[in-house]
Amino acid sequence: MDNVITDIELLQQEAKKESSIDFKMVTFSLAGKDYGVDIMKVKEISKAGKFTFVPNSAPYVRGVYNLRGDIISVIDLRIFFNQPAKQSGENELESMIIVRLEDHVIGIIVDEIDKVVGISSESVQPPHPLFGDINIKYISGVAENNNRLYVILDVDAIFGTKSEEEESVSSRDNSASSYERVQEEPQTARHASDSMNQSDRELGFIKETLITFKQFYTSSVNDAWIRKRYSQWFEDRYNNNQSIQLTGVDDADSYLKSFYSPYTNSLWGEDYIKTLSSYIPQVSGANFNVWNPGCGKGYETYSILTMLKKHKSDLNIKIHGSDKDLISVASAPGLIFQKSTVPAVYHEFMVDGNTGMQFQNSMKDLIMFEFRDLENLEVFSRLDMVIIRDVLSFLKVDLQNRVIQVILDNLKDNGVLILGQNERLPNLSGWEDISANGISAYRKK
Amino acid sequence: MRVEYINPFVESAYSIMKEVLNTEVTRGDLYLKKSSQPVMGVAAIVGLAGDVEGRVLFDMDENTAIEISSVMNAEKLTEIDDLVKATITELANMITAQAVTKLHDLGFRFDLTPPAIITGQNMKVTDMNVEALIVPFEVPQGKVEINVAIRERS
Amino acid sequence: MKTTSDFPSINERSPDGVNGTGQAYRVLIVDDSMFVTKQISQILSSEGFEIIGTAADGVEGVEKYKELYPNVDLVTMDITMPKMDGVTALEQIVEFDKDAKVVMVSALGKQDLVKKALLAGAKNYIVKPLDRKKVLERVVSVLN
Repeated sequence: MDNVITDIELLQQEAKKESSIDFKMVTFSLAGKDYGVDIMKVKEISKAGKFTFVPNSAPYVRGVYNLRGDIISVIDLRIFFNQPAKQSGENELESMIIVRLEDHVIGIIVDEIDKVVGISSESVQPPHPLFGDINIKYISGVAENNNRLYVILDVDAIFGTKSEEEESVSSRDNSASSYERVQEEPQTARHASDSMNQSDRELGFIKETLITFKQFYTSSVNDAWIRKRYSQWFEDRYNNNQSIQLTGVDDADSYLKSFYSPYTNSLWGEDYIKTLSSYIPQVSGANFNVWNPGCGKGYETYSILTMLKKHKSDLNIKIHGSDKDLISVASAPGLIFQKSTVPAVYHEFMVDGNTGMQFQNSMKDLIMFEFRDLENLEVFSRLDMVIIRDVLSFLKVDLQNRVIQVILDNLKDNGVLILGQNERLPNLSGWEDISANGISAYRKK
Repeated sequence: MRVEYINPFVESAYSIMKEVLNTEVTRGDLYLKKSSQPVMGVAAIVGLAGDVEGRVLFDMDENTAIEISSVMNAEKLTEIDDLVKATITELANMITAQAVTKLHDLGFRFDLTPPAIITGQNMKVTDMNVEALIVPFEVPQGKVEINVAIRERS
Repeated sequence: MKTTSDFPSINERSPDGVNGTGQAYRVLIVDDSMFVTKQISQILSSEGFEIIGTAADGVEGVEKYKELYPNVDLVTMDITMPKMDGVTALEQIVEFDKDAKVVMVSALGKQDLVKKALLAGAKNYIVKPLDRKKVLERVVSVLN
């Protein structure tokens, strides 16, 4: 009798599992067993090595690591759990999951990072005392997916500052509430429904991993492209018998490869200058002000200037190119080009030098390159044109909206906004969509 | 901030501090901040005018100000007195003046206004609505942050 | 035949701050920065100069000069000061005493003002940051 009930329950659970993916975890292996950590805790995944040894620390502390300026501690999870850890060579890189705890960030070394797995929080079983390898208080649950059993670790319990006592009483509760929080995340707010299908789920994971690997934020600015791209991606990967999910930066790069607009990081070709020049707005005054955020090394900014010189030579042109990458933007004013790479249309505006071609000083004087972070938006002088290709998609969603609003506020009437070829304005209030010929363009009403 | 302005400030601060403190100076990574932000305890401000408007703020904690002033005066100072304030003001003045000279050579016309010094805990500087460039330095006497906010006159 | 007595030894060298008859040169320091005033006083005092007065702005500088005259040999004059700037103070001192010996003290970046001061009668100038060698060299060149 008991058995029958259990079977029914299992079937119900199976059904639910199919219909409500609300918990995602990054999975990895330790000594041949599968584990997972809540993806919400994971800041990023990387290959790293050469940790700086810290004297007098616990044996499982491998050292410290410089994560783009932030110094983080690195814990070897295998040593922490008394699992065999293979000795790594001097220059060998190891798999590191960087997790975000309540008030700090640490790196944990594991054997292999596998992928992102989505499950229903209801399918998570309480930890069983028989999972002898790891102290039960560090486990928030156990879940099965595709015939693999994952032990879900509670990183806060392992490394957090919670007191031991509090932990043992409430570890189950904690994990339960953390599942609920995930559901509230707008990114993943998918109420359990039968319409939720496999591909939506896969796409959801891809979106998450694009944030992790490329800081690419899906929103209505680029959602149409992401979906279109997904069908192609799925087909390619499926036919090649590869994982649909993005398992690293390389995958993310190849997913985004067709996202970028023409002539990214190079001077625009004559064809593109011609197409885009039809979007230059008519102005009544003598001044023409352009903002080009995300200008990088300046290729785009010089291209815009050349386009304007060709088509609006009678105006006083002023272009602000800005970027938050100091190294790139600092080199922009002195950018040198190899003659063979410069299309003929630019030649009349450039001079030959010993090391290559440069733009004439009279051209450079019309550009102001600035070290600037869109996070700290300032008020601008009245703009005639804003060219911001493939920049919004790499900003957090709320910042995307703030930037669009600032552009709307600072453009003159009939001023024109150019986005990346695969980007769209999320809402058209105040704008007229004039996109055509592969150019995403909007005119301020 | 316009990229051409950055190096003159970084170089001047580095060379003047190295000279007057006669010590190694380490520079941290540059970054950007909203210009309204907490001040560490002692801040000297030099205003800029001319082709641009803006200001340069030299920010450090009290102890660092006292230690730096002790070295520059070749005597042991123990509190934020008028001499310490005058010394930090002068340091700010020298660094900004040298940066402005370098900028003149590049063709940018800046004028300096006389420096002012502010001290105290939990202060905030909220001036122009301009993003500030932070140039952090580490000297044996402590941390000195140079905070440059410059806006083109339009 | 040359003997060592033909050459003054280092130890016998008279300090820079003392004139041929053994009297100390008298200096007035005009500077709004306490730090700079102190720095100049220390450098000059150590070489035997006598600091006979200090002033913290141009107005006070001119007053002090008139008060001390003719018992003052040299003035160091800051350029940027409140109330009255150093160039104006220099002009007023030179108007009062056309032989006044004034050395301008300037931060970098004030070349135009330094030139203006030299045209107006300043005898030399020193650019900050100050160091012992720089200060003594310029001051001594004016007195000789």
